[in-house]
Amino acid sequence: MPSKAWRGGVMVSRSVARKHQIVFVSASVAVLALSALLLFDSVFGDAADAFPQPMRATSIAEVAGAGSRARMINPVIASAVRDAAGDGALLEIPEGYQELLAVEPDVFGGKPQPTLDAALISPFLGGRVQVTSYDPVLSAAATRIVQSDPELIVLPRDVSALPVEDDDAVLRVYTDPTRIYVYIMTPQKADEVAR
Amino acid sequence: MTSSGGVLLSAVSLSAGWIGLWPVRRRLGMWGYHLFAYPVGLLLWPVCAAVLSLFGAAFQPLAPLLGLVVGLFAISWWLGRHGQGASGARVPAWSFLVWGGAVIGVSAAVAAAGITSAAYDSLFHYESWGVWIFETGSFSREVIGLYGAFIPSVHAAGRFFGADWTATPYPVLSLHVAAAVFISVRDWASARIGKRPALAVSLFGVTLMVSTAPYLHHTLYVHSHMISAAYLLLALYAVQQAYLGSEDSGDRLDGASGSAWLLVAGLVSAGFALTRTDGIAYAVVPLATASLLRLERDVPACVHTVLLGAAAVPLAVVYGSAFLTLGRWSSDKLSGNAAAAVLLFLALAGGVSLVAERTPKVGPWLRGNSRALLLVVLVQSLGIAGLVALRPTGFLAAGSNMLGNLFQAGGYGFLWFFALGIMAVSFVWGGQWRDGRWPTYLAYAIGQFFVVAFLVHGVGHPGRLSPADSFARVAFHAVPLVFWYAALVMTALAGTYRARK
Repeated sequence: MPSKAWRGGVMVSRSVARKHQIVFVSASVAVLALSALLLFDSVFGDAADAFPQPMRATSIAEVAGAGSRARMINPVIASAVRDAAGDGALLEIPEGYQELLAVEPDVFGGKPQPTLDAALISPFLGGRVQVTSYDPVLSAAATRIVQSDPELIVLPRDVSALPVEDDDAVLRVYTDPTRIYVYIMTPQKADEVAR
Repeated sequence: MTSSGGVLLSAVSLSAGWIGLWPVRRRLGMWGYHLFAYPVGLLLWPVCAAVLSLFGAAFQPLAPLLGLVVGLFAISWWLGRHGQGASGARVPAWSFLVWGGAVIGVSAAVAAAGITSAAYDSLFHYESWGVWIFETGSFSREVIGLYGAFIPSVHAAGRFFGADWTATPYPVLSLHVAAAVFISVRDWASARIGKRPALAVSLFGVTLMVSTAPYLHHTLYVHSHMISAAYLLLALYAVQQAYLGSEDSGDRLDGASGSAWLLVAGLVSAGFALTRTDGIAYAVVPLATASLLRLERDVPACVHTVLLGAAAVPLAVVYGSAFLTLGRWSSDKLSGNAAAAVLLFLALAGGVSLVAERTPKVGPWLRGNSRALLLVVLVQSLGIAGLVALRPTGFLAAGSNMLGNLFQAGGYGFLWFFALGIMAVSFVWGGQWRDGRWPTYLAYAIGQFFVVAFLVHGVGHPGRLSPADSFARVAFHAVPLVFWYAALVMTALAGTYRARK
């Protein structure tokens, strides 16, 4: 029995060749097994459960509407301002807005975060957000008038807006007596429905 | 607002890249040229936003975009003209139709179906500050210090073209990642095992990668991860092409092809650095890999300068604009001081990589096979050991969470066990399969990525066990590199099998 063999164009001793053979076969088996296990895990594993499911949405309001966080209401409010009054409108929100909505707040690091947040709306409106002193809670009768307005724009997360013609309008955030629904309208319109 | 805005964004970005890189198209080769056009075009948006931010005017990016495209065209033309050697094969017209059709087709399909994936960060980190840039024409401390300039600027551009929600860049870049892994493996394997087996190995590697849950998730997820993964992969692919070529012959830099590849390597490295605030730390991965290859291959400093210059200019424009408009901004993630320190470090490291070979005695020693690489690994190991000794609690917590997220809680399933297994196989079997230098450098790049991650998370925030943890998501940036490496191992096995037969 010869003590040498050709391997890959190189003459090596038979023991070295055998060692190479064992390493090659075990490496091939290992790579195939790893690949098969990965494919199996990809098809039958539950790794996908760790990620948010894809959604069908083409606008900020739709994406925010599909989200699970209560604070996703803030971009919907910004979208409502845009839909109601165009790109130049200014939004005013009431002092003490952190406590305004009776919606279960998001909790980050064990600490509840305000649902309505001027800082989260601001970038969506290019900074055109202002905190002002006014009464944001509509009466039940005023709420009914707003809800029955045929021009009411309804967005996700119980946010609605009444459109205005003026491109540089000032809009405000209002809510109903239950403090769940949010209405975006001008102060003039709010006075009108309150009368 | 229309859903066609995302398609327009893709079309304009791709066209900008095609025009800007037109003079070096033959140097990059057909698929190299097409692969880099869209990412380079996309990189122009944060640079446009940085220029506009200086004036604080409304976001009207077409004029600065045109200027940047003309500037890039001029640089490409200069590089193409001054290089020597063959100019490469013609880029056929049909390839524009195929690649343009693929990019626009994916964008149109996503826009028409309105399919996307989003979470809190998608809205409040990226889309919101994209609207801010679009509305105000300026950066903010949040954009520069918390989320990175790249993605909000791209979203601002999407809004400029009429998209209310910008979802198209993510699947388009996923297409780029799959194509880049396929092409890099196919070219490497073709030179070793023949065309048909190469096709099989590259298809198998890509199939393995795209079928994993994290890859599918990040294909649609509006966040920094698919963008970062694409730019890191493309930067390393360009570095490989520049210094070694697919055949690992190392003669690329004899001609102008090397300079063209270094230009795109630098640009996408800058893109990688801008996608997240910690991106400027991770940019060390492609830049260090390139610098080590330069030392080993004895590449002239002037050639290496193309890479460093191409990486430095977009970073200088974006961070220069930020310093001029925001002053030394404060931030929990990337303050003005931290940005200045990291940029200074990168500039110093770049400078050292340019002059290292001229240092008497040290230079010739470093040029020896893998000595610079081994030295870097050794110095880093000592440095990390020192840091861990100084701050044991933070680093141990970070390390523990990192391992927990990779192998258990991070949503990766079997993926990192696969990666670890492939690495183990390649190192155990390494003595026999070392075919060319690139697999060693690719393994180094993957390791370097995790070293940077360990430092970033050990010094900063140690994280938590969750798929939503920062590191758990950041680890995805290295996933395409893992499958690239795995396919190289498979190629070596196939080559050994053929040799034995």
